[in-house]
Amino acid sequence: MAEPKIKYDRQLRIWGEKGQAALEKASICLLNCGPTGSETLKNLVLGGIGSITVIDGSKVEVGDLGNNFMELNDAVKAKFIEEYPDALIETNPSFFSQFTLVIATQLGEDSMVKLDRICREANVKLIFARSYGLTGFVRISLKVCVLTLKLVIEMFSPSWHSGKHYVNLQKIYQAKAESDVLVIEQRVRNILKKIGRDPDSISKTSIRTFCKNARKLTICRYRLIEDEFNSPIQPELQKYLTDEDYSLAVGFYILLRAVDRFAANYNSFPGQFDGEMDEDISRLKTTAVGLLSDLGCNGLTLTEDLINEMCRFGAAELHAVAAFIGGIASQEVIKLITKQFVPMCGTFIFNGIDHKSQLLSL
Amino acid sequence: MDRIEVSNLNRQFLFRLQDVGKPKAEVAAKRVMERVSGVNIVPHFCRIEDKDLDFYNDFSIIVLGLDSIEARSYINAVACSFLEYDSEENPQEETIKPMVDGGTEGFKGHARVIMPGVTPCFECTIWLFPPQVKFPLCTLAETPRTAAHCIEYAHLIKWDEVHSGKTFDPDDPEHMKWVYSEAVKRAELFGIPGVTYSLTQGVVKNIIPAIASTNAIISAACALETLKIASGCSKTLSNYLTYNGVEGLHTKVTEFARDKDCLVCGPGVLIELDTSVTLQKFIDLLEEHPKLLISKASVTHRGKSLYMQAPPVLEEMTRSNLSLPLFDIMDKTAKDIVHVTGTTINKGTKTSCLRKLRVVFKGIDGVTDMDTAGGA
Ligand SMILES: [Zn+2]
Repeated sequence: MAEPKIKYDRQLRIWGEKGQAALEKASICLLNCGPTGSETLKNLVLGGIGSITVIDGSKVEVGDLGNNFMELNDAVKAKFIEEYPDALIETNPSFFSQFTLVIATQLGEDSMVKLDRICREANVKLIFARSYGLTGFVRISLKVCVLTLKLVIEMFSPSWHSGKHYVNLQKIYQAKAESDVLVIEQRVRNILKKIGRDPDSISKTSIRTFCKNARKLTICRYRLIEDEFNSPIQPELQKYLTDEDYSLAVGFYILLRAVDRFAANYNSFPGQFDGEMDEDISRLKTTAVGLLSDLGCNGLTLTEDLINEMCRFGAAELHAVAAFIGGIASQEVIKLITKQFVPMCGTFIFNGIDHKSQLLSL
Repeated sequence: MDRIEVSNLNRQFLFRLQDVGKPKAEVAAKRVMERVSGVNIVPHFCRIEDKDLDFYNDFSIIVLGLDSIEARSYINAVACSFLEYDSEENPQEETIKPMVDGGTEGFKGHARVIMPGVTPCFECTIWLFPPQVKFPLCTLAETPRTAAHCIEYAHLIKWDEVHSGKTFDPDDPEHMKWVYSEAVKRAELFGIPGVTYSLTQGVVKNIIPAIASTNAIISAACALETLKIASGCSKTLSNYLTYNGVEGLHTKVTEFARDKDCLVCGPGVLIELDTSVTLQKFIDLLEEHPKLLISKASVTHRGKSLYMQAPPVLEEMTRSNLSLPLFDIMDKTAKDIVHVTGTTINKGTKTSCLRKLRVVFKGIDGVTDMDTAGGA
């Protein structure tokens, strides 16, 4: 076994021992281990995530992957369960409460909505990832994420030229910071007492860290998937639909949802089977128009080109696209677990045609 | 020419602990061929400069996983050297050698597609890679403010004061420990926190932090662009993608423009010669040419080595050409492209370089007289 300090040196320089310890403590559940799932997992296993549990319905994937993954990093504990994620969400929702974070790949809308509710209730972090032809998305879902960022702040410009004054000033700052910590500590203890909790349940170290980083305190909030699906934020949606920079990305967003409706109606994805292309194109167009009208965008249509393109994808999970989507997803997992960097907000829509991907806040 | 190190294992997923010390190219080729049936990968464990132009010309696309500006510059010049222009100064499509480049640092990265003659080459946008900012010596000597200042003081100033004449070796742990302990003393003196052994190594060796996920994102973008160029299944990135995941998620595509005067991806520096000029005289001329300044030049014409500085066997074989007129050894062609490799001085340091030259012989078929005197 390699000395972890050396093996992880290049990443310890980014998130430090504390970030690494958080990763090593984390327990991750991955739903579906196709290209997108395995590419996500690969990056986390390499980085030394604590343990992974993989849920996949297909025997081949599960059998194959076990060995491949464990070869990457023998420090990671792994469990492979042969079961369909959709069925697990339906029959055993409490299963998910044991994890730090769930990564759900290639799920349909129905299962996404259900899993989102389960994870919110159990206070488990959740991230969705899906690859579809040359497009796909990544979306974080959790109640709220509060971060104290690790930042190197250059307090003075390089023109500040006297070391002695600088150090004196630094001492003044330190004294002030210390007295601030005492004030905040007093308040924290009072609040804890008031709400009936042990006044010492939050350590002085935690309070000091919090104060030190208060300037860079960040709060991210995420809407319930169900809310976004049923009532996307109208002004934002209208803006995206009319802004040229967003037109492709928002088109893909609508179509990624439309293909799930399509699949529910016709038992296959558009363009999935040869010989039905023309019919699928017109069906997908009708489905997309219907969806847009449900979202309060009556009369709007998407371009023929985009609909044709979506049908051409035929629900294929291209490996290079899966690697990109999986890369983005694992990066956000790392940020959610190490809690030193701001995770993305909104839905990331990948555009593999010209790479003009966008974050949509709906 | 890299070999596998333990610190690669947190992201370079083709390598295992038992591979440490082995050539990366060989292990990577073997691993991929074991996993993917039907694929053939030929590893070359050598410097990129060791291969001749013909080697690179055999490929349809060149994908760059390089870690330095110098290496990128070199391969860029190689790919651009194949580019030829028609009489209307438009690039000839069959001579365009596409390049796909990617790079990462921590949570940031870039991917780009270079179509020589069409989109900017690496040299057109060299300003995107400014030289590393070093700390001013006066800051290190008099007013250190950060842990890095203390480390660089020990590394750049104190080392030379104490070890007169002995060069600092960053790979010698004793040297590194010495710099670390001096940096700690310095930091204590000025009340500066944060000097650790790991940071000392990072600052002195200029270690770039790296993680699996950023590399996955960038290499996926490079792979996707390469597949699109090869298959023509979709339009490609035009032409520069940046990714930044430090605060939220930002991806941006910028369409950079070509530098019309670029020496590398342009039609090539025009050199007019009398038909009597010998190859030796031509080589001397390259050293003095203000746009080129190439010393120790090797010269090739249409894949044929006219003169090679190395290896010794080739040098000996081509030496007799030196005294012959260039016009004769170029088969009496009135004008043509000639490739020259050698060394040049770039910002004070010697670097390998490759230049494409348009050699035109005066007074042949009246070509040059018309071309050059036309506007006068
Ligand atoms: Zn250029």
